Amino acid sequence: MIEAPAIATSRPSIAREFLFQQVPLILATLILGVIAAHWQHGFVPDGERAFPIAGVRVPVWHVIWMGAWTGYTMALVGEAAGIFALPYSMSVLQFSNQHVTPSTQLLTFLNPFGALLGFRRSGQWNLDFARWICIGGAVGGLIGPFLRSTLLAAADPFRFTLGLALAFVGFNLLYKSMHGFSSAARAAGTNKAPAAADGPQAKFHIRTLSKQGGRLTIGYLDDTWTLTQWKLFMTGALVGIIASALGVGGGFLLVPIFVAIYRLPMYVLPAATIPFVIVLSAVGLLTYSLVLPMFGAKAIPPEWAWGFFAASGGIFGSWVASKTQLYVPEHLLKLMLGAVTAVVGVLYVMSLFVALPFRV
Amino acid sequence: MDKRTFLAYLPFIVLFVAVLVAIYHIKVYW
Repeated sequence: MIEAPAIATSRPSIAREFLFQQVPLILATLILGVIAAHWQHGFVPDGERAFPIAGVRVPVWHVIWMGAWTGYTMALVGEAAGIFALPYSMSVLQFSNQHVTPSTQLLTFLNPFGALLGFRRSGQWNLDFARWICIGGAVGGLIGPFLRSTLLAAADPFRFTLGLALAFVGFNLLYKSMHGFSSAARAAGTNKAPAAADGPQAKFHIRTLSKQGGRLTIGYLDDTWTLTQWKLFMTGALVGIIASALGVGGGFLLVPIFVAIYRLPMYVLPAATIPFVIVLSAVGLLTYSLVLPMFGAKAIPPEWAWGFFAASGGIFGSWVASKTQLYVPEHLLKLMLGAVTAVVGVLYVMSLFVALPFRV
Repeated sequence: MDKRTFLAYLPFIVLFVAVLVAIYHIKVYW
């Protein structure tokens, strides 16, 4: 068990960090939500007046709460809010038309900014590593929305595809929770943070060691990895297509790919995954709103206020998770969230083939 | 309950509240 640093000694800096970094972000997204609602609809929807694009009545606090609890619980197990917020929006809040995809994409766009600041400060930052995966993500973000507006336009095939993604995430979490005790300490992909030896404030940058002939070598601590640019690009593009067609960040696919294929430790991954999610979501949002109509397809604009409100909760939730992760029984949580996600995924997949006795 | 125990329980409390809120929403708005 990792011996956690005393909470008491770090509290003043945590309070300051919350007040000066997180509160402004949270307030800004909340205010943007109100502005967006007035700009798009002329009023702020709530439990009485439905969100016009979403077509559902839901109090604003519930949308904020959805962002907060999905952001918090999913960040604790190394996932992002989108993969949980999307099925919750669809199945509980009944926001199941096409606009749910770009609306959740707005949440996945805004959510990682708090984390981005933290990772950059701690040295988990390397633009050479992020560049080609992000360019791939941008291309994927241009293509994915076209899939959503054609092949996945109807609710059933969309739910089926989302079900596959959820089942993948769920079984992945279950697998990790089962293997958490025995092999986590040795396995590739575990958190190789420098905190243990040099204190939590130590900075260990992810260095670029060489960059020639389409190959990139990065180094972190004593390890080096050589990555091929076109493979990074293709990975980013494929993950980007799937993620932007569904309306999620793509970390759920990117992280297992990096761990399984490149054997990269978790500490290094945010340098690529966080910028990737931001770029992909931004391009996805632009494509849904502006690029689709340029090619004769109908635009699928997001319910902007919905995305902003959810993101304000999401930023708060994922920040709380990052500060309290050490104290949480991660394997048990992975087991629970993995089981729930897998069951929802399997139900979504099944709903295409059999009539379920309840609404999903 | 000390702070560490509370933080260890917090995700499960949050999930429990999430289920309650979801049930509330389904009852009121569906």
